[in-house]
Amino acid sequence: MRPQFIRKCRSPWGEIAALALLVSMSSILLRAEDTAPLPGTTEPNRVDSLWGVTELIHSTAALRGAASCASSGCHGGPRAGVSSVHAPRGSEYPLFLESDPHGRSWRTLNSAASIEILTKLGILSNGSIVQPAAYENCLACHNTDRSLSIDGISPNRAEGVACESCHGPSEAWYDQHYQGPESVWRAKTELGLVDTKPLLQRARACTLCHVGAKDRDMNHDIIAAGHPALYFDMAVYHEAYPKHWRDPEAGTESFRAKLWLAGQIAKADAELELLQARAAKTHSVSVWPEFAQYQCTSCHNTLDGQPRTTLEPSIDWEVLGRASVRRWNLQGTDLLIANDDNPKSSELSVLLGELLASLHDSSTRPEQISRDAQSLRSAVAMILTSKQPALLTQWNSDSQRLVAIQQLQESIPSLNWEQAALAYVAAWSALQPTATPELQPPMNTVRDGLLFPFRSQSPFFPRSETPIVPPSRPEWTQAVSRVIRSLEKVGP
Amino acid sequence: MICSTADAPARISSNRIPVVFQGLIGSTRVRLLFALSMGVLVANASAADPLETNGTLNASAELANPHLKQMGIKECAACHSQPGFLYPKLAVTQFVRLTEAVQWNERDKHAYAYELVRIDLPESEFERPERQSNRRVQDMLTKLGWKQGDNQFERKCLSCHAGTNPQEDVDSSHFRNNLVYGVQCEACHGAAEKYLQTTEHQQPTWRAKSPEEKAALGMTDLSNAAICAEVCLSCHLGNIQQGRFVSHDMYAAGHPPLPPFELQTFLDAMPPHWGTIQQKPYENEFAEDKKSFQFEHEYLTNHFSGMDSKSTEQIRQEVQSSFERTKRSLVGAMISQSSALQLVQDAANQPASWGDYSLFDCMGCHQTLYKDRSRYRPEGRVPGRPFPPHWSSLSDSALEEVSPAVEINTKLNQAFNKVPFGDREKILQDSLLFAQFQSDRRKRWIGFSKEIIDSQSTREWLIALIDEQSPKLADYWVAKQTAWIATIVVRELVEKKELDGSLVEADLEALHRILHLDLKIPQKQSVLTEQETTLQTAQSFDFEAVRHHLGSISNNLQSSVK
Repeated sequence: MRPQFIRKCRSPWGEIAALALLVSMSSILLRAEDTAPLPGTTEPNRVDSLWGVTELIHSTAALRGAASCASSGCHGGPRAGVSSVHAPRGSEYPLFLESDPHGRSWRTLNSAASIEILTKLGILSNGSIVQPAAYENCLACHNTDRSLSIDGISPNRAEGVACESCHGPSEAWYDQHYQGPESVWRAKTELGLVDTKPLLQRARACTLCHVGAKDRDMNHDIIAAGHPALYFDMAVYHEAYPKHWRDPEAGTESFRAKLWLAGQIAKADAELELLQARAAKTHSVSVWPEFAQYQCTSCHNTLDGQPRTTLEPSIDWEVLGRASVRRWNLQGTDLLIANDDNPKSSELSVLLGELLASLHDSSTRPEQISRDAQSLRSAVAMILTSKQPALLTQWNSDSQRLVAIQQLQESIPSLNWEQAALAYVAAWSALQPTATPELQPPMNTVRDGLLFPFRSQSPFFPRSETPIVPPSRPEWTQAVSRVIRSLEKVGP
Repeated sequence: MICSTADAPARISSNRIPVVFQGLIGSTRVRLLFALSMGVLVANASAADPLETNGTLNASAELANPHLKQMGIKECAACHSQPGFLYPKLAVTQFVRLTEAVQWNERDKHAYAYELVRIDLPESEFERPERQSNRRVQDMLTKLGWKQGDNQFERKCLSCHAGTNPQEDVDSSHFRNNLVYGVQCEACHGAAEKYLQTTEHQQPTWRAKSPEEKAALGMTDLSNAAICAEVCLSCHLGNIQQGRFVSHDMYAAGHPPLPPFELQTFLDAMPPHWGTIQQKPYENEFAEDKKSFQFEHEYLTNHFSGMDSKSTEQIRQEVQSSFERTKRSLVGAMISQSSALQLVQDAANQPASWGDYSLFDCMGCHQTLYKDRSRYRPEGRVPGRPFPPHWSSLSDSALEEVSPAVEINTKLNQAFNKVPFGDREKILQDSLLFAQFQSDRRKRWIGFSKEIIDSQSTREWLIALIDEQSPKLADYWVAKQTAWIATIVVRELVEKKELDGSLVEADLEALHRILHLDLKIPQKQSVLTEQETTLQTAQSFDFEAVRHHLGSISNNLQSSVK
């Protein structure tokens, strides 16, 4: 049985609150043991433990592999007669194996396109791996087990991103977690089974790979060699995920909005962790300056200024002639800053400003950027632990609509690709799948304006065979205005 | 400082342009193998004292001292604006036209380099259509946040747009009064402080002086292709030491991208206020007879090496046969590489310039995310790392094989492969090696500029160049420079009856059409009027066609050897 105070919390935010409370209590206890007083910021390892995903990063615990989860009585189901949304399906493994893209990710790493990327990066040469550390960086997100087998080229267990990638290495809890609900609780709280039910924690697990972490960095070198850039959004990806679990809240009006917010905050933490590692050059593949930290279209625009797509090139210099910082993963901090009842928001705003200024100034030493990222990350963690922000507890589809309207309005004058894409995703998350069919055409137009020309999109995503004609700028602007008007009508 | 145009000093009055005497083309061909010249130059290089060179291009005796004072164009124009009754007696006019300032003032774009960027104009003036570039500058200054009084405009713009000396006090009346003449005489020929004081500069004996003696008095030897290229490139590519550097924020604010540099093509675009050695002595209405071109032997031996034992007539014949235009193209290309390397070295010495985006190939970043898949991507590079522009990258050609260019290239590749924007420490570590290389290379090409070039080496070089550049032609800058050079070389071969023009004319025309090679922008018109066409061409030209036409020229050169 779960302790009473956890069970009372109906929303995932409540659970996060409870978890955060636990973590902050434990960190107070830990702090008492430290002889040296902490500097004004939380240490990065504490921040990691706040998110409950520490086990997923550089864990020394042994992996047992997905096959050991897949016995027919456990997760290799189907299990008969399961009707409660709170009960495990029992068929997690077959669902994962047959329809989950994560189950194919090792095969993706073996595709012709991946072989080309590995060759261009000089990781693979004449059929053997010549840069093991860089290859391990690839395996970190394409396979659960990143240790190499005797052939020196395939991992010990080639299974894709399987169970233990997100739920944690099972060595400590494998034998214990099927002996009743209390054993599950113990596995989650003490033994390192990652609880993916709270949305914030779930999003944080996704962002380990879909944004990056200190031990896995999909950087600009890899993009230049052919890997698609990472543009993760929790709500959008969650919708597309063939789920091997059930969410009791899935049908509720604010579920998408909550997923979106969880994603924004988790992305910000992951981005700051990654940035900190990149600038400190602690990862073997890290280089500085790291172009993936900047907006793609800041540099990748045509010299002649002629738009080739609806939103390109439209350069909105933050500092004249310098690439603008990529904000795709940093919106979480903006949301926390905008949250009025948050006493730390001004401090957060200053720290974010300092970080952006450091990133925009070519003369900043990378060590400084690493420090700035760490300070901001710790400040975000302090806000999440010290006092539960109203942002997290009260977020619903109305708040989502207001944010979407604001972002759409800002994207019209700027015509900045990243800003427009963020606004589109925010609007998408504010809409119910079935409630607003009349919004579908303008939403499609807004989306099509973000597209690059036909056949230039990532080969890894499905696409229609008929070319999509991108809207003109006036058409796009009109569509954005229509979406704004509709959102305003629905809104509070 | 706002003043009206009426306050600006009046421009020099115009004069009739004398007919240019084109020197007869000699028939004697002197065979010069590149191996021979390289042998000579390597021997020179090994004798160089490393302490004598501090790794800068300015360290040599042939280039005038930048610390001398510029006297202003009026001093020069006193003589160089029209020949007078006094001069024939001094027999000066067969050596010098004495219409230089007029040619320059009336037709040369350099004379308008300041006029097109000046901002001290009344408001109404900015609204005129021909003030497009001045409006652009106003806009640039706003975007850059450069304010009146902080001298950023004077220091960073006028170092090229008025050829000013970076040491000069920008508030002095001397500085202000001379701006209006743009890139004037002394910007290229060297500050006149010393040579104007000597009476010798006005005497026929001046022509007997060696370039080194003239340089000691502050005059730069622009008849030497290598030195001339260095001077041009200090603006047309950049020179951080001379404060001439278009940084990326200046481009982002609106400065048009600099084209690749091709010395002979650029010289052809200027109205000549000079005569080549082949063209001298001039036939001139003031000259009494040709014999009055005194000191011809000294003059020729000063500018061509290995001629001391030959008679004036013999040297003259050899000089007339030499492929001088080809030589200037070749040397211009080689010095472009030196200047580009110097820019990297100088930037490494200045942390503030290091990593400025403008040190890198534009298309390295400004490629769309979906279209430029065929853009030139050299082997052996880490994906996603910007590199310096391809057109001025150190050549790997046979021309460099005996020099340490391969080693230098390897070091550069390592530095730019290691981290994005290059590893500054690595460049600094090897600074002595780079300096020695630069100094040797400079001596080599200055020496080469004094050689006689024959038709076979001309052909061989163009064939080798096209071969080397062929894989890089997807890069607009490489394509443009190669096509410019090919045009110069092929036309000189045709002119000297070494090649049948009908074989190559169609290819040259096609190249001009595809790449927009013409440089015919009127003197008072800004390049901004052509910018859109140029950039659109850069973005979408048919490089396969360029490769085809250059290949066809190369084939014709190979198959038509006499």
